[in-house]
Amino acid sequence: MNFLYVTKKLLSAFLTLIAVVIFNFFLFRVVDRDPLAKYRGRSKLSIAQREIMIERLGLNGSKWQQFITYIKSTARLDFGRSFDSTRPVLREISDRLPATLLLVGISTILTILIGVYIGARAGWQRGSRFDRVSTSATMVLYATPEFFFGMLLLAFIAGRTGWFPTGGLRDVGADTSGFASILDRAHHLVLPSLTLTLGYLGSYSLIMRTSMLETLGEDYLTTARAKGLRDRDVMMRHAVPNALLPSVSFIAISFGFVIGGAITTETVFSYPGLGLATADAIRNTDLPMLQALFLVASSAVIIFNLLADLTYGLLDPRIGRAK
Amino acid sequence: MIDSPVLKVRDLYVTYQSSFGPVPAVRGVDLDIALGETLGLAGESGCGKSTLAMALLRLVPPATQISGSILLDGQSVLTMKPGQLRLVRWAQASIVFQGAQHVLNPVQRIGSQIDEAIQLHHGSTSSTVREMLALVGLSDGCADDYPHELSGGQKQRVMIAMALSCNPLLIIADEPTTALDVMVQAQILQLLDNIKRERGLSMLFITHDLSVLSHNTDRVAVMYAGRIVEVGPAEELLRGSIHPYSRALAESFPIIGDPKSRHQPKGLAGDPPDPNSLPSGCPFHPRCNVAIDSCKSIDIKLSAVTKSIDRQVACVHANDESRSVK
Ligand SMILES: Nc1ncnc2c1ncn2[C@@H]1O[C@H](COP(=O)(O)OP(=O)(O)OP(=O)(O)O)[C@@H](O)[C@H]1O
Ligand code: SF4
Ligand SMILES: [Mg+2]
Repeated sequence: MNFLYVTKKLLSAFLTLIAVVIFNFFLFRVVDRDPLAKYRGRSKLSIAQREIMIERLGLNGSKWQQFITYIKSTARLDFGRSFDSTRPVLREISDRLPATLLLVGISTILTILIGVYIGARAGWQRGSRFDRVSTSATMVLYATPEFFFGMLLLAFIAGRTGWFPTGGLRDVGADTSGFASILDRAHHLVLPSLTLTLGYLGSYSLIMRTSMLETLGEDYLTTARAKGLRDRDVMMRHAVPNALLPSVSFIAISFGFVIGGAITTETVFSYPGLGLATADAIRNTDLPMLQALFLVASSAVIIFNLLADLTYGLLDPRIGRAK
Repeated sequence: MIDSPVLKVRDLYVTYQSSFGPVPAVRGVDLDIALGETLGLAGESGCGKSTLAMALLRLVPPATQISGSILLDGQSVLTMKPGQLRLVRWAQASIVFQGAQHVLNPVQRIGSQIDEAIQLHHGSTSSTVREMLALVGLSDGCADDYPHELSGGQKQRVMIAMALSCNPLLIIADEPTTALDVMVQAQILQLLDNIKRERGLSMLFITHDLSVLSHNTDRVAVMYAGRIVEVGPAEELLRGSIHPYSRALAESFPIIGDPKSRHQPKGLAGDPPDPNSLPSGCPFHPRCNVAIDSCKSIDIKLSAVTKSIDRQVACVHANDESRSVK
């Protein structure tokens, strides 16, 4: 990986972001003829208040002027106020971002680690007991939507045993600082992250298994065996590093679905993160919130893909290593 | 001459399992290679040369059936435990694989791929990556390169360096120069020749092309449909082959570097037989221009010819002076 490759990827991520920002402008101007119809402020709007709101939302003037206003405020991260709570959208989002980052981060790491392990081993030992059992299991996981796991976990584990809370971020009235609070939050995270992990484990491990199968016939594996390496080392040192390459791209592409999964998972567990905020904003047609949430989700996908590209560059010496 | 051969193969059968059923790729091969000797193994594509080479280190797919015996420096390869087999691989015999393009791991540095073998068998060798690269005429800097940064010839040199890194008794070179251009072919052959002489190595040199065998081999074996049909001292065999197939192969010395001339020996009609449906009797009879009726039903075993003690041929006409074969 060289400087040129990194620059190219950064630039392309940046341009994609710009395109998303521009797209966002049009998207939210065609959804509703009267964006204020669903405004649920504290009282009904008077004509004068309406005028003020329209100006605040940047909906006055020609489309071109509106566009300029939109770009300027987006650049300042000023997304206006939520129709629902009337608090600044940026505040709403920054309050909820950590919870979602934690949930999606933990689930993604778990999914990748477990999925890659299962897929690599199943592919390597094709047709073995491990392969048959894990492939059937991951097929089922793959075919099941994540909210279903959420509901199962909620009903059977949280509901029956009471070992885990049924929702929320922390216990009401619990300490908000110190070690106890960390434990409490972790306790609340277990079922949602398990749900999200189960939801995407199937696709990640099936992807890795397929890449592994494609690697099995490669000549360099025969070379490695001929050298006298044990089977495990042939797999870990030669097969896995090569099979990871196509998986990295697939995993990056599927990250958008994980974000979708976060919305349903947070809704099922009333976990107050950005996913739940999105569900609420959709229900309330809270346009300023939706607009900002859409940007956040798109940026997350763009950043994740950028990370994947950089990882790929690190793993594959053939990428951008001009000589 | 062959008191304690480095390699002694007896009655070797290798049968692949495919979705169409068993594929008998090697069918009863006997082979001896003495210390310091080079045996050339020639035959058309698909006759089982690579299968034989791979079977010598049990590198065929796990479902494949192998029977017979393979003694490598006196040790029985086919019956040893996996742990023992791993010690024998590369330290006793190493392989320069056919098609150097894909035999190196694309995401691992050259140096570390060579070093991996050295570390694994450090009991049998004290070589360093540097020394091995120098031996095959590559610079130190190559150690830090990845395979895609090297030319085909350089990759083949790396493969040779790797094959030599653990000081094996036997090197199996499976068409080491196919897919290289003519100049590079000559260089690689020269390199192998020099190294072999310097180190007193035994070698099994596999090729399509009889012409490359004349100067660098001691004995030559010709393979057809999974069997050896003729074997003998290189010069004698190349000058006057007895088996009709060897003759056809020898007459068709291809033009080096012209791939079209390689696969279709001149004056030899038809394709090599499919191991799944071998002709009855002598498997060569459908293409043989001196076949007699009995060839369709009787399969002649490889046996010594009367006129030379070192020659063995599998043909009804082997000792047939009157039908002297032209
Ligand atoms: N893994 C396998 N499964 C089933 N059949 C195989 C397998 N590998 C090789 N064969 C078949 O075995 C026969 C011998 O193949 P092999 O590769 O040994 O030939 P070869 O003499 O090395 O040919 P070439 O000169 O093209 O390298 C061929 O008919 C081939 O199709
Ligand atoms: S045995 Fe018959 S068919 Fe076979 S090579 Fe000799 S003459 Fe030809
Ligand atoms: Mg071959």
